[in-house]
Amino acid sequence: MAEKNRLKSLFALLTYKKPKNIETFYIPETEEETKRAQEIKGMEHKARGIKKPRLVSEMSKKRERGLEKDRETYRFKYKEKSKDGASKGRSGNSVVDKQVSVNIDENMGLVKKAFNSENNKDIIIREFTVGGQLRAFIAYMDGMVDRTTINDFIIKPLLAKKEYHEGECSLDKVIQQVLQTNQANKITDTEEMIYEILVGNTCLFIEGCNYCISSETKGFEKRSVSTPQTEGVVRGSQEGFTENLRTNVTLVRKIIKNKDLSTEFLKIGARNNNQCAVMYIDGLINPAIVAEVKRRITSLKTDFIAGSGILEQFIEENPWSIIPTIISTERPDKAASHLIEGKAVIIADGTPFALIVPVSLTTMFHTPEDTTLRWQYGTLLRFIRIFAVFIAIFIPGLYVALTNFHREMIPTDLLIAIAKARENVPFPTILEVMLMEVSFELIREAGIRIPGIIGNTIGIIGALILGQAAVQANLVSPVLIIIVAITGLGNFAIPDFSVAFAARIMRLIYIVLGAFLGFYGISLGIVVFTVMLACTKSFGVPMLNYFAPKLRNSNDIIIRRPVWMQELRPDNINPLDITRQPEISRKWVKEPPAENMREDSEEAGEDDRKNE
Amino acid sequence: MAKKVSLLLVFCLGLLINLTGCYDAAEVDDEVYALVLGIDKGINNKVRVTIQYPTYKSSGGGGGESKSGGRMEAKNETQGSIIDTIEAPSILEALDMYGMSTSRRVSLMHMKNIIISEELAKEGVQAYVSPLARYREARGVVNISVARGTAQKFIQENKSNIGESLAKDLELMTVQSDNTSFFPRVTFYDFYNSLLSTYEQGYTAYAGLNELGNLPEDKYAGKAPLMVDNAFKPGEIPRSGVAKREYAGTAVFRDGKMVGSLNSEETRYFMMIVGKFTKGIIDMEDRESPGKVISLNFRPSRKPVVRAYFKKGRPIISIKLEMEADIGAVQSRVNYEDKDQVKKLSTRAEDYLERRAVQVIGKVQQQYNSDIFGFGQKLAGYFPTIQEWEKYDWLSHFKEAGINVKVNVSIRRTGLMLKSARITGYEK
Repeated sequence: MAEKNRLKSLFALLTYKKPKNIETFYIPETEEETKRAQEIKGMEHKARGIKKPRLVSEMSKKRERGLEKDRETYRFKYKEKSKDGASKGRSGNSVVDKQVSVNIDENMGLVKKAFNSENNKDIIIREFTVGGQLRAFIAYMDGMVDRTTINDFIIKPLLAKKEYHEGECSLDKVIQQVLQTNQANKITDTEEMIYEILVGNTCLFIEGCNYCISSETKGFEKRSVSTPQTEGVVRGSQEGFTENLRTNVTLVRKIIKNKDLSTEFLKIGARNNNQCAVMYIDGLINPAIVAEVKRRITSLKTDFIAGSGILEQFIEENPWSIIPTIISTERPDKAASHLIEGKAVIIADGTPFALIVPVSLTTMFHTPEDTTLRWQYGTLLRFIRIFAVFIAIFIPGLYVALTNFHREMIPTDLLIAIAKARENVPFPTILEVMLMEVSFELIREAGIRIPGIIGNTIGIIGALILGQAAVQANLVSPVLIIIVAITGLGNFAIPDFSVAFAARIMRLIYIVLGAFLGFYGISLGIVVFTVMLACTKSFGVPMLNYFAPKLRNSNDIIIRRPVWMQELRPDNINPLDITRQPEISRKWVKEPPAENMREDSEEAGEDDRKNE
Repeated sequence: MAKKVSLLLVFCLGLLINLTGCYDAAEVDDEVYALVLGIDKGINNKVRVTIQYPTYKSSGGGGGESKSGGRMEAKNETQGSIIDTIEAPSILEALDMYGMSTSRRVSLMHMKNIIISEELAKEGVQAYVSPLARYREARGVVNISVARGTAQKFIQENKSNIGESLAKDLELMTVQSDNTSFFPRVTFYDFYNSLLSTYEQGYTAYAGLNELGNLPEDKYAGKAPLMVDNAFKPGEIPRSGVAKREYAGTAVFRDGKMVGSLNSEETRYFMMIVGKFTKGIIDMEDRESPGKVISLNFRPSRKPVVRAYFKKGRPIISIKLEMEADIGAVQSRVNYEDKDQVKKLSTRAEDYLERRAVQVIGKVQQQYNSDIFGFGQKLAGYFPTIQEWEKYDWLSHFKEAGINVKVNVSIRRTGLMLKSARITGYEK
């Protein structure tokens, strides 16, 4: 019997059993989706652009065209719908009243409803009475505010106030006499009040007033200013932007102490209510640039912009261009130097990067170090960087083209060395190159994502396993390791992170072109790419400017002349004031040395006296 | 739909261009690169072609020394390179015929030297040279030379003794021409041009094998005379060493056939006249103490000035050589650095160079009747049209030409010594 049972259980392992009906979690469809599903019932495949397989014999062109039209209309409908949905969703818990009411209970209800205070414990509402009679409350976001400010400079003075005049709204007096915060504004608009609370200010409501007072109490956790992580320099400022917008703006203003430096704040992102600042020097920047920047930013209708990276993609001119058309920098001094040239800087809250517009290709190879170093060194650095770009883009492609098509161009000894190195490698050169490129990119990507604690591992993997072992295992030839290594070095020498990315993509394109068509392919690629680049603009400024179209030289384009020779601002952005400094900026060279001057002036003084 | 079709078309067009580009792609190690091409007269067929190419073994070789699978006694695999010989109706077909035994395609892309055997050169080289001029892979800058004996044997002894790199060895060997001027450096392009030319005749470097037995033990019983002329032909240089192959002198061609040669010393004066002499130490016997040598380091201070004209129908050519010299050694320790002595020495050097140059010109003119100097170029200007020039046929008139040489030597530097002081106790 026992044996039979055992057999049965063994048998049960092999046979099909109906699975138990276990309830699992799933996300239910929204009402809207269900409604739409009803609408398109039977036509789902068309709405989703899927072609139902049909017999060839039944196919006719006419019907095909008809179906195409159907699909278009369905798609259109779907788009319209989704737009509505988004706009509806954006408002969230909609507030009925547009204005702050006189009744304090109504106001409290309004705040509670707006912030969903039953579930949302971040909103703090503190009730008290002013002067022993008037009911009042403050509302703020927990964690976004500085508690000391609220305790000592808002609640304390309010509770200490004893006199009270009937009949008049006392908030005016409160602002003038009681509140000890540095910023306090009257607010009547509900939306504005909500925004004030969201950014970390405290709103004070008092019975009998149809407005509230927003006091500046921002005090959230933020990273302190530290050295830039991605744009280091040897000589020059070591300050980098932080995630906090206010700090960033201050960092720039600290460098440019100019009354004309204007900062305009714009709201971006409907759902996360982010802020961005557009900075420019009024009276220097061409007003059209500011207008265009503001036009593009204010026109954005989207729910989430976390920082400059997303904003950049929303406002750039040519999303298909490989080369970025906006410079993003982590350095306040770089942003400041561009502001002084007459460009606009956009800083978005949330990322430690500022966007600089408009730019040209040559500016992408500038670093603050070019200017802080003496001009000979700065110019050398520029040449090294341009060389690095060429290496990063072309070397693997040229290697493939040379070894596959133009072996006569390689010096004989090198050719024999390459052949010797390749003798035991079973793959064609193109595969070798691809293999190494991919592994290099893997190391890079893994190096960024790897947890810091085990970060050392990447060095071992990269250097030992891929470098040495790959050669010893005859997977790749040692020459190729050098090629990939020098390409990687070249890539890291590019000062702009986005340009470095572009170089990586272009490198792959040139490898393919070189493998298919040799030097001819690479030259074709250069032509096509140059044409594309010539067509690209950054906020109306052609990327290849100074070369095409030919422009006035500001003495700081490729060769950096001495700073006292840089008399003009860049021509490409048409600043209102084109001169940076007069022709003779170092007046002392025209003057006699200090010792002689004193004697001269004495003589001159004597002469004057004689004349008198 | 139309967009999709057009995209597909563009993609296909792109593929078309790309894939057609692929057809002549080849990996580096799919080919072997013949660095030397030897051309011999065939025994059973028209031509015997020898190539030497480096192997792709990771070490420089040497292991091949012991193995000998050669047709001749010499080894066919030496020091990281392989030597293959094949008999074929033509050079180009020979390259294909290698494909029957060599696992990789033979490419002439990186050819450095063409070696022609003397026997073949004497019969005429046109038939062998012109296909190479047409062939895409063979470069114009390949050096060409004529080897005494067979090219095959010469190449079998062509080892890179100093380093592992055969290519470097070949390149630097020809560059030695610039250092010593004992043999000229002639590119295939120049040689081929001279074959077609009506102004000049061709010449190449002259090479050969030295059996290393030319160092006589004791011919003069310890009292060897001073022989200042280094008049050697390849294979005759008194030396011992490792490399058997040597370059010495010039092979002189007339109408595409080799008619003779200049020895190493004559080559120097020849190169002075054609302006290819760069530097070289020339020893002269010291007149004031015979049996002792004055070494002068010569180099041209100007390019040679060649003027040509017709005098009563006879072509007259006058050559002016401007030379500079540094004193290299004065064995007698006579104070030649002295102001007056220097003048004397330079006059003597002028006489010496002049005499030797005239001898060389005489030899070339009378014995070989071949204008390897390219004097025709200077004379062609006297003929208004090319037809008249061709009708005149300079190459046949070369023999009649009167050629004068004037040498001007100025001694500039005396080396590190300002005065040759007598060595104490010597010659007492």
